[in-house]
Amino acid sequence: MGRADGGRRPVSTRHVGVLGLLAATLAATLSWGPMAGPGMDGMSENSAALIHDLRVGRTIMGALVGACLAAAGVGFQALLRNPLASPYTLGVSGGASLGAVVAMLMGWQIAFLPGASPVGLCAAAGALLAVGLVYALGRRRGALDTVSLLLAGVTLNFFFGALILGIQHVTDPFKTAGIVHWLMGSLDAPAEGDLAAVGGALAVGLALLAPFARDLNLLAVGEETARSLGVRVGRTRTCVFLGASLLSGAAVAVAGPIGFVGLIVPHALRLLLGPDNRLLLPAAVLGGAAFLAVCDTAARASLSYGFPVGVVTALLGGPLFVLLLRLRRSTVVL
Amino acid sequence: METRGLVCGYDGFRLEWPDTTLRPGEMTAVLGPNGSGKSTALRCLAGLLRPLEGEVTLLGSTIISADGAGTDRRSLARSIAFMPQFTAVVFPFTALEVVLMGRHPHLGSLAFESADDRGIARSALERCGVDDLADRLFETLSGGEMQRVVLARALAQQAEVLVLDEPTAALDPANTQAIFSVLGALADDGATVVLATHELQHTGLSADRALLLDANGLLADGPPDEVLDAANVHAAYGADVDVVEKDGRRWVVPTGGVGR
Repeated sequence: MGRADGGRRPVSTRHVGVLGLLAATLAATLSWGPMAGPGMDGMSENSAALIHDLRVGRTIMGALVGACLAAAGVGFQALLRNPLASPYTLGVSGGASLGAVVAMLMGWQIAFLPGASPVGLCAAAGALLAVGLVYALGRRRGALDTVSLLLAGVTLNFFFGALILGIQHVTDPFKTAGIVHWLMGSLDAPAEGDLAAVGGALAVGLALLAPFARDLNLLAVGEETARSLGVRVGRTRTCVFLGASLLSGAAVAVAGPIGFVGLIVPHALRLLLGPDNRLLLPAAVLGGAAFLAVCDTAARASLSYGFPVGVVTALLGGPLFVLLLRLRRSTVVL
Repeated sequence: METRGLVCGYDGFRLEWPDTTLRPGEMTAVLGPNGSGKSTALRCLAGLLRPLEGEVTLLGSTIISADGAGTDRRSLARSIAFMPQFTAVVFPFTALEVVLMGRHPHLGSLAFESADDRGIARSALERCGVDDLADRLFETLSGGEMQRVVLARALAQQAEVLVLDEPTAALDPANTQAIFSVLGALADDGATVVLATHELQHTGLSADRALLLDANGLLADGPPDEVLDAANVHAAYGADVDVVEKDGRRWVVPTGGVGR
């Protein structure tokens, strides 16, 4: 890789630079993002302040959801030893989507918990169901097994997807429109309690992942090698699976399956910083937050207010990622 | 390191391992045809496969047993290093980063490697003759370079016992010699070295002891010069060899499959 510093150090100026840039982007978006969007001229001061508050909440929500998705992506990619894994590979998004779709189909309006939307709660329940099923099916001889886990997750995702398509087919078009919009992933109209719920999930999820960051590095060299180097593979897999599932489940429950962030942000950061999960995890938290907050601000500023951010992430992130791949093509093996 | 009543295996496979004492400064070669249970036995000795019966003790205390008692992964990893036959790394780690992984059992869970750890990794790479590869991506190395880097990782682990599963499988003669000479030097420094191998000649030249397995279990155990005779090799492998003496050493020369 022709490094001038004679080798990758655990933390180099390059790492500090990238992390600083991400933090600055996030801070800038959080402070100026809410001002972007249709002008507030001619409104009363109160209305303008209310809209500003709503936008602040939405921008923070975007940052939290992005952080959850990217951190979950790091966890799943390392756990499954597969750079193409995403927070949605193991069925969490399928289960959450099915829960949300059922809630929308039934037209449930009653909030079971104060401050939480019925759709969000049902999505969370669906995610939990999916995680439980995948965990039960992914075990072999009492421990999580990578191949069984992957097969169980991918199969369940297809199964839930088929159920959702079936429901859409028999539902009246008005409800279908709402379902399709939710499935695109968007940050509009978060419920009051959502911010706290996602913030809490982010904290707990990271607490489950962070202690195993170096163990995950060793898993990249093989399960047996990791074990011979002192890694308790079963415990590592269980904690990382639960932590990453919590992160993706919370994100999908409040924002729908916003694509691309959880797959591409870890990948792009790995290209910039190297594969060490001890750096990748905090970088993904910052990078995912900055990326989704920027995408949401862009969506709001340039398009209609309700434009799904899930579309923007792929439109903006796709070319950016291809550019990164081209720049570092010589050193990257997917 | 001592084994007592060790039976290694899994569903449908069972190998009774002889009670042995593996001493510091000794290199022990485990020989035998493919499928005779060399890898299984080594995995038991390294604590990677729980034995069906019996136990392994190190300096008198039980470290591996059939019921799993006394096994603590981290402390085991500080005592026993294991080198697999083949290593595939999924993400783009450099050779130095792979060697630094050998420091894992010595580090706290959230710690980064210190300058000391990096020094240990560098000198392990040097000892294996691959210090110039430190910053190369592991996946871009040749098979021989990979094995030497993985051996360096085992050295960086600073364990008293080294267990190696066919470390020279698929390597060219120069890399094979390099690996055996590092292993010999390690044993001279007081390490306990156990390896599975098909290199009969290198076993004769370097090992202190050879355990020859066949499909039914242990066939012969002793100094390589006694174990490696034409009759034993034929009995274990079904291969035809001559053992000739030259320059005071014994050489195992294939005689089967020769010429057309």
